[in-house]
Formats: sequence, C-alpha cells, structure tokens
Amino acid sequence: MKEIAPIFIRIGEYKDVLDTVNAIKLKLIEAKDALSQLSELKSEEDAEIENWKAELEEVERKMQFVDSALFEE
Amino acid sequence: MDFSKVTGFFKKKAEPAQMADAQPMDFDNLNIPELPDFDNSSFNNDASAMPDLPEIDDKGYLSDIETERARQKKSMPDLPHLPWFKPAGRQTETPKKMELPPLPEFSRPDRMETRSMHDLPELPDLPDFDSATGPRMVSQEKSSSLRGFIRPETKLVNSPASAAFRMPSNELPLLSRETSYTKKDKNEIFTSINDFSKILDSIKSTRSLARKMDSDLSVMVESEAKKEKCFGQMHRIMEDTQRKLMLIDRALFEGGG
Repeated sequence: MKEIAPIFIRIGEYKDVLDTVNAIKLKLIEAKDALSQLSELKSEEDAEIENWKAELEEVERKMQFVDSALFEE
Repeated sequence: MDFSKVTGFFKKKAEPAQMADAQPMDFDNLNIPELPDFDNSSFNNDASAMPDLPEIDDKGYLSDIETERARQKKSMPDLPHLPWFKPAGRQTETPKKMELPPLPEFSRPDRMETRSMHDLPELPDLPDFDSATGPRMVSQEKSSSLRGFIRPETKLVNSPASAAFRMPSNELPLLSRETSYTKKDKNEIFTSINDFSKILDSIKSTRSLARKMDSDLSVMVESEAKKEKCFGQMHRIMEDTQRKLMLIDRALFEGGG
C-alpha cells in the first residue's frame, strides 16, 4: 500500500485560539450549571403542581360535601 | 593741460583731496624721444602690390582650416619624450616585475594511442542464466533497502484536534491540560490536514448546535411566558374561590349566629 506523507497546516494565532477554546469551555461550564439549576427549579415546580393538583382535588371533594349537605336534603 | 579736463573725460570728478595732492604737470617740457622716420611711400603704391587673397571654394573656410591643420600637423616637429611621470602626492612605486621560476616542461600524455581489437586479451565465458535464481536488479535492491529512509513515518502523539474537539461529555476536560502539537518554529505551529478537517467539521457542528440551542432557548422562554400566564390565571381563580368560600362561610355561619 502506498504510504502517504502527512500534510501539515500552519495555524496562525494559536495562542488566541487556545484562549478562545478555554473561554468557551468556561462558558459551557456556566451553562451547564445554569441548566442544572433550571432542572432543579423544574422539578420543584412539578412537585408544587402535583401539590396544587392534590389540594384542588381536596377542595373539590369538600365543596361536593358542602353541596350535598346543603342542597340534597 | 588742465587736469580737470582729463578727469572729466572719464566721467569722474576730481576729488578735492586728490586735486590738492596732485602736482600740475608741465606738458610743454616733457622729455619725449623723437619718433623714427616713417616711410609712407608704400601707401602711395598701386593696389596690385598687395598680396593675393586665398580663394574660397564651395566648402567655405572650413576646408581652408582643415588644410591648414593638416599642413601644421605635417610641419610640427616630434615631441620630445617626457620623463616618467611621478605624482608628487603619491609615493607609490611601480611594483617590480616578479621573477617567476621557470615552468617544468609539459609533456602531453599520449591518450590517443589506439590499439587494435586483436591486441586485447579474450574475456572469460559468461555463466549460464537461470531465470529462477537469476540475478536481481541492483536498482530494486537499492530501492528496497532505502525505502525505509525515504519517508520516515511521522506521527502526532496527541494531536490538539482530537483532544480539544472531542464530543462533549459530562465531565469537561481540565483547562490546564497540556496539548502536544507539532512545533516547527517558535512562532509557527502546524497541525495535520486530517485533524484540521476534523476541527473544521467540529466547528461547523458546534455552530449548528449553538443555533439549535438558541431556538430551543427561545421555545423555553415562550413556554415560560405561557406558564407565568397560567400561574396568574390560577392565582386569580384561587382568589375568586377564596372570596366565594368566605362569602359562603359568612352566609352560613355569621348570618345564623
């Protein structure tokens, strides 16, 4: 098999590219932290919504009881 | 003679100081030698006594000048030989001619000596040629033996593209990770073309992912606005429900009490 010599390309401003890559990595870390906080808030909201749902059902049951006690006699 | 007339002739007035110093000359008693006698008989002769003027041809006087120069050139005496000029300011002396040793006698070798074919000794007979174990070409042996030296295999130990543009994982790599790269010069850094194409592909995919994340974020913002609206509506419903329950409570228990 014919061997192919590697071809190299000169990278200009390698230091700037490296700094930019590091800055993007820092931004990704911050975004990841923000996303985890959003996930926690979302789970808390889901729990609160479940509580609201249960409380609404409880209010509905009690209103049905009051309605039946007052008007069905 | 009045001296003031002489100065007036040159348009210059005699200054009184000069006039005071000047002594008046007595021109009548000047000691002037007598002039020699002048024979004016030649002026009274005929005009034929004058020498003939040279004739001018078509070229005009230029031909006369040329002929005169040629004549003077022929008639000019030879210049004497000047002594060797030696400038006063420069004390350089003409280098003396070096005496070189005599060259050895050159004897041309007799290269063109020809011999006839019959004078050469006879060559030995060639061995029989076997195709299976025949001799190989020397160039093939050289090329096979030099193959390892023509293109030495160069490998990047850990290219920056494969390390920096990996797919994102849960654990990001350390920022202070050392990357090895091919460094030819202090200011020039090279990467292989394969890694460079991977880098470009990774940048393109990252750009498309960033666009998609931006659109997802806008969707999330819209859903958050809808959620806030639902929360407000639910808050109003709860407040209405609370007011109605208080009304019922007041109607049932406070009216009866």
